[in-house]
Amino acid sequence: MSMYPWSGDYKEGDAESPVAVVTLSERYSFKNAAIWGPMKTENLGIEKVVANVISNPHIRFLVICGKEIRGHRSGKTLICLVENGIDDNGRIIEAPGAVPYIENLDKGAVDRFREQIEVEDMIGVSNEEEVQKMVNQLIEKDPGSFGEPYIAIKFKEQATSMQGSTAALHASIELSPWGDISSMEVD
Amino acid sequence: MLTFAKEQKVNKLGDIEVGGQPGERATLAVGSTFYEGQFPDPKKSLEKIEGSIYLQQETADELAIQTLVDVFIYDEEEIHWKVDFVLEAVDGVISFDVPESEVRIKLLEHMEQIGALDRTLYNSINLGVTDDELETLERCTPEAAVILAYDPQDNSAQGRLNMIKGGSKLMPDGLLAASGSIENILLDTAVTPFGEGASEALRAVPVFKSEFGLPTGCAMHNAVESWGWLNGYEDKEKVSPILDASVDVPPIIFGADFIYYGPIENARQQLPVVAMIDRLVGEGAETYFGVEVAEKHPFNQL
Repeated sequence: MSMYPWSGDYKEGDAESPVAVVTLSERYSFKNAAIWGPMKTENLGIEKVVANVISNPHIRFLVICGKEIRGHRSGKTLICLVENGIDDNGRIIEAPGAVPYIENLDKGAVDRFREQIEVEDMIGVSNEEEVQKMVNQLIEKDPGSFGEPYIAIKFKEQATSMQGSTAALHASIELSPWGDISSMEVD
Repeated sequence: MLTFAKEQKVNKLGDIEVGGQPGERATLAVGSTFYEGQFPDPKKSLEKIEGSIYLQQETADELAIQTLVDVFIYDEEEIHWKVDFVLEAVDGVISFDVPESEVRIKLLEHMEQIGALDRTLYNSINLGVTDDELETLERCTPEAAVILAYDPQDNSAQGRLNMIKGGSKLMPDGLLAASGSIENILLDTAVTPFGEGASEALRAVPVFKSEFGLPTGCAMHNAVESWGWLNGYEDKEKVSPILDASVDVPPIIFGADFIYYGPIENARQQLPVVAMIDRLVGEGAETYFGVEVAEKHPFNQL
């Protein structure tokens, strides 16, 4: 069973390695990193990286490499998260991405992430061997485990109950037996 | 299969009519080009891109459905040559898909300068809209705009609705207010990955049509593209076109007026699926609800 609680498009390696790698738009494979994979979006993608990195306290370095995701600027936005954190609305401070919000993680998880890891900015580097070399160098600098794993709980809103309602698709609309849809007032 | 009590607005984008009751008009299917990874050097592939644009149009004519071309523009330097190319290659309105606000502003100014705002479907007005962009939209108003209902704080259908209508914490006045004097608005329910509210984006299709009466649609293929499981599936290459096509079926059944179906190269495989479902929905609309189905519609032509 995976030690990483949030599903995503990633591969697992040595669980005790101090290095995680975000490959942005590329698909690489590393010999001795803890976890690696692409990351497309500046919101949901970053949340998955944060949640999975803090669940493994051995990870102390985060390498961000590969070609930046155009439009989303997910790599640069992740660096801004580490450097600046989030504001009261969950917006990543000074992030360049289009919609750079952290909404499914509590602030404690973000703070822990920022304390646990150090970023190695290799955005734009698309040479897999070069990134592997950096992984090897960082392993040599391993400062040791950060402590206990931090399991980030995903915020989930309770779905509106439909019991006793005539709504068929959503609380705000009514579907008649003849297939007519009309709006209903929602309290 | 459904009809809405709320009056449904119909937008005219050149020869294209989008909106109305389900089954009344053929679905508008939008194919994307110049997307990331389509070609290593798009400037050297213009002939291929032009070919796929013509093939989409030919297929649409054969199937009696409606199509548009969606052009991705990522950087300011791409604006002039992509716009020049596509204005020549395409008749009528073009969807310009521009992720960054600064680039969207430059695009509007360019389209105004060359007198082509009447051919511009602005994609999109979203949470990332800036004050400068709103000011530019007032000066350089495009023919039409897509409003993208993404709310990172609430991915439920209600959260997406609040992002348009007002009431979202992140945008209290809502995206519809931000669209100002743009006459033709299309509502995109903002598809998120499986596990992150993909089904709520689908649910939002009838919710939006019922609430706003505006043409509504989505790009369900985005859920397929971001599906982690699929990357590990041995026959991914074979099955991807089937998944891309079939995922567009439920929104059309739920009343979607338009869909962004993904890469324009897939028109030959995907558009017949759209036409088949239109055929089905059109039949249900006419025989059960007495809806007058447009002459150019798979129900009347196929």
